[in-house]
Amino acid sequence: MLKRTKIRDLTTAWLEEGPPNVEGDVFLFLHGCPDTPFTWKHQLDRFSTSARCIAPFARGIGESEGSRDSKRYSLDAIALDHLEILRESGESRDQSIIVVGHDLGGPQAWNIAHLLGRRLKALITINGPAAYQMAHRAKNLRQLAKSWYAGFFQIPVISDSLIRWKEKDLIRLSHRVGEKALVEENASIVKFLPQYREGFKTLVRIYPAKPAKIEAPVLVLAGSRDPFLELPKADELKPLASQVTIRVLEGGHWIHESMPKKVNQLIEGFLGKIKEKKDEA
Amino acid sequence: MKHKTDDLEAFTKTQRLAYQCVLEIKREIQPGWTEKQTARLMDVYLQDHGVRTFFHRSFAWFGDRSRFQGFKNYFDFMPSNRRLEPTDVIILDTAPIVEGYPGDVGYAYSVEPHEGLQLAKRRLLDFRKKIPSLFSSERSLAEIWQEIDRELQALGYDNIHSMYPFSVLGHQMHRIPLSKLPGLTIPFSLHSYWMFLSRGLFKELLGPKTRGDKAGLWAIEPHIGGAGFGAKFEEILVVRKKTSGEGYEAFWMDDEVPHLKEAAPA
Repeated sequence: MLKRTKIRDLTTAWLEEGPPNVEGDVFLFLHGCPDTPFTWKHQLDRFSTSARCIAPFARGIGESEGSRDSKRYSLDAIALDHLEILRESGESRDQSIIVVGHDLGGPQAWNIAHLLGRRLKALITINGPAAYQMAHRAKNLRQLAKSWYAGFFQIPVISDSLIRWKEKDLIRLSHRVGEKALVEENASIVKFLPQYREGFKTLVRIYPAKPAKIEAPVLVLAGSRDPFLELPKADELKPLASQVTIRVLEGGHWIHESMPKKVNQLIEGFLGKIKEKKDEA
Repeated sequence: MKHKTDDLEAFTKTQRLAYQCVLEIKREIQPGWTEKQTARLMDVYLQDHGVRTFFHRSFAWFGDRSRFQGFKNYFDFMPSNRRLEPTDVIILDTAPIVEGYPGDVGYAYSVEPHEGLQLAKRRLLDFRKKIPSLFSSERSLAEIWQEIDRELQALGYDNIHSMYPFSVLGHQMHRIPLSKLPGLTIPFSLHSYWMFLSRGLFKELLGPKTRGDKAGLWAIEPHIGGAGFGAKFEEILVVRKKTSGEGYEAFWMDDEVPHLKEAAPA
């Protein structure tokens, strides 16, 4: 079901599925670029049978209004948007939140995970590294080569014009090399440029800072053939979270679309273990 | 100085936005947030509402830092990496500028019920009730400062605002021309330094020795300290000369402030 509201003067939309419970867990699915929340189709189908699932449209995508003010695309502004969406969807403060992020939704997921504090039940990222991880890959030549485009996006006007000129072709190319399985006609790259630019500023700001550790369990899923990201390493995740599980699947950038059963099983198993531990305690 | 009605409306608009920001953060804050993170989100919230310049950046103080425990220099006032504990008192203080009109608000609360804080907030409301009458009396600014100081100490609290730069209980607020010009904000903006310095710094600040005209808009911020915590409010008091020309009248610019509303009977 498509929902929308005004958040700090901008129309903001999200998909919401599942029972309108006020006690169970809430899933928050955050998509990346070039994508829409429909990328989570298989996960929404599976997890909305027992929990409420919320999948926001990124700012500027679908019915989520864009802003001329680049600050509205900062990680913190996005986190405030997501907190308000959770509230608007009727989530009570006693409910546990499971945050799932893919691609650019990854840094957003890590960021909001910090803000949710004890309400965070689990953080799951799918080919979506934390901003801190990316900042520490700045000297990794393979990663730099894989994400060269993010550097190109920092050049205003020129990158905007070139991408606008060939946007459909570039989207098709990225979907093909990233092994995206679901057809997505409404994706955009241009509308994500402010997010890439604000994200870069965040990298510069946080680079020397030591991040706070997330205490909730974290599941990091990665595709072995991801053309955009290096595989996650335990060392780079150690300062970020106390309990991290890394799983690498034989797939590309969009593994939650290309092998949904496997990804859903891993998520279910991971959440099941959390429940077991909680029951034992 | 005279303030036109439409000026007061504009100052009220800014003050309400600042309190809206504080209440938004109150709704979302969780144990584990750092002061820096909290202050940054306040700034982001205000920027999302079109704020481009600040009188000062947002401050957040948790636990014993809300009573400036161990503060030795200017930099200790800055938001730190201190993480919020469930039993901590929280003070949020922010000062955006909207269309040239600055606001400056402060608010204290806690995630879990805190008896000491509740009592301190009731005492602060007593001060809020009394302050307009002090300004409309014949007391000088210095005498007002000293009377508040005496009373809060008689109640068993420490005077924390005496630890602010120049020990200010409050400061004047004026419309800021050229507020759209960017300026460094570390944490007070160049606009705010200019606002004070261009008018003669000391008569703009309500300190223990201030002599000067009481008329104007004063951001009043009594900050008191109890055992392991501090509490404050901050809002604008309007003080103007009576039309008869003798004496002053004083009133709070806006009663739609959270510390007053939450104390009202349901």
